[in-house]
Amino acid sequence: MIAGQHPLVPIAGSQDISAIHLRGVTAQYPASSAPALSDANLTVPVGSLVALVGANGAGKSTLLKAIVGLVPLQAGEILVHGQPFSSQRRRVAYLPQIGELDWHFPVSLHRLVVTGRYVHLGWLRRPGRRDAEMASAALARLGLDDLMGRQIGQLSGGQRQRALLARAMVQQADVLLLDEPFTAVDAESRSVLIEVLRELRRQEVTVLVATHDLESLSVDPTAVVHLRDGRIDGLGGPPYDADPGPVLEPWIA
Amino acid sequence: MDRLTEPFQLTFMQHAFAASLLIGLTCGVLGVYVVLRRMAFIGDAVSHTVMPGLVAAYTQGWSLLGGALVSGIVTALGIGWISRRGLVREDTAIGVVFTGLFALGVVMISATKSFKDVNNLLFGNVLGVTPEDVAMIAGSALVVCAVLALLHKELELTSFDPIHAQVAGLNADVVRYVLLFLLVLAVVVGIQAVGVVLLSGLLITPAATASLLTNRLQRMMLLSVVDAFVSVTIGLYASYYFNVSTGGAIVLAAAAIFVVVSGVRAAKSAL
Ligand SMILES: Nc1ncnc2c1ncn2[C@@H]1O[C@H](COP(=O)(O)OP(=O)(O)O)[C@@H](O)[C@H]1O
Ligand SMILES: [Mg+2]
Repeated sequence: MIAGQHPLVPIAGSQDISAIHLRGVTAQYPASSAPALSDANLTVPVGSLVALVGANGAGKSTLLKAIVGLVPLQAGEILVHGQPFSSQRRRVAYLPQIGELDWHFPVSLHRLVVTGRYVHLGWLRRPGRRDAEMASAALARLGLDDLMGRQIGQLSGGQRQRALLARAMVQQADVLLLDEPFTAVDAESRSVLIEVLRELRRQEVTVLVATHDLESLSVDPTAVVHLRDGRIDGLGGPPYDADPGPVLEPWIA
Repeated sequence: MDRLTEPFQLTFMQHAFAASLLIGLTCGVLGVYVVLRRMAFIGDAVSHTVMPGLVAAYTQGWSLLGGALVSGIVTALGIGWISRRGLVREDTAIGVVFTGLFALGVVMISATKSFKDVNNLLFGNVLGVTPEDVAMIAGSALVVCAVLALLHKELELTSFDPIHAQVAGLNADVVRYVLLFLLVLAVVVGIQAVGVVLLSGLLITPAATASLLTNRLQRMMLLSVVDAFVSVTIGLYASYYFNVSTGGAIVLAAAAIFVVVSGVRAAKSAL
């Protein structure tokens, strides 16, 4: 399978380098007067699955967006595999909240998934046959191969979430940031999504998933991060507060 | 049959026809992005804000294209800058810039003597294009089509998922400025056919019609161009035989096609 072909690039000392590292991160939207994320410290080890939980407006999406450079930082720094995100783009796949795309745009499901290859192509280069084949394979893995030619607006909520995960898979990233991937999802889509998430975990892909309700996750996270009013106010938490320590250390100055 | 070929015995009609088809190509193909990216208002704004540049160029004897390009690019950059800041609501900001510059154009126009030239600016005068104009229009059409082809992947992605484009390292703002620049080119050439006032009709109506007929991007561009070709052709014949405004007839034809197509679509979905 696609993600399986992905080599976890061996770098000297990579064992010590966490997949994602936030140190004293304060982030604020340009149009806003207060930071949406304040003084966040977090270390996500390679291969872990970390759930971000918290009420609506707590800052979960902001934290994910800050990692991929969509929200400007007021303070602090974020490293991906020990490097700034701009040098690690290919290795980080970001799944936006489902409402952030224009689903009415005249583009087919297959074409949407091919856009997951663009980070490898850069400007001007067009996707080739290999890119198209990867998209087809990912769609098959997510059970959407019958719908490849369909305009994306004609997909159900669950199919849209599966499409976004397929797109992330063709990127062959080893860090996956998922924003509310279970929103508007039917039972069938949920079980496919979860199956693929489990598979990615076995392949040591690091997953950071924002969800407003932990139960819907159905995959045991390595750790849970609680957000409230833009601050990380706890790690672990029921039913995972038993022992989050060894796998997830908050960064402390 | 003679009635169909007769107008094209005349050199000025040949020029007008060539210019109109090239303008139809430019506006038809670009209009699809204008419609899909909901930039209709910006298109309208740009077509009005090039007025002061056009009037200045006319009164000073500069190249009209140059004058329009300069003020169009200033507008495009200004609008791009305003909407990027996110400080003021975009439509409000555009509204202010748009009416302000158009008002400046109107004031400048009122100082000129020639009513005929004012009329050409406002409503177009494709029957008066020179071979040099046609060459300029062809150049603009070529630039627009070439850039759309070259940046197809980037334009498409930033249109429906600018966030993904940004994360993938394809700067959505760069694409946006490129599109605004193409829009200025299309506006400047389009003004020669239908004038400032009716320009957005030529830019938007064929694309809107095409969007009713398909949900494939390339096919939409093709249909939009075909629609624009039909509209300019009808407009030219109408103005030749009935001595009515060419620009008015072109946009009216495009609007009529839109009404018919949406009527047929509504009837089909009602069945
Ligand atoms: N684009 C934006 N511009 C300004 N403020 C925003 C924007 N997006 C989110 N916010 C604000 O930032 C805070 C955190 O939002 P978000 O990260 O989306 O929360 P969550 O994902 O946990 O529901 C909220 O107060 C929200 O109103
Ligand atoms: Mg959110």
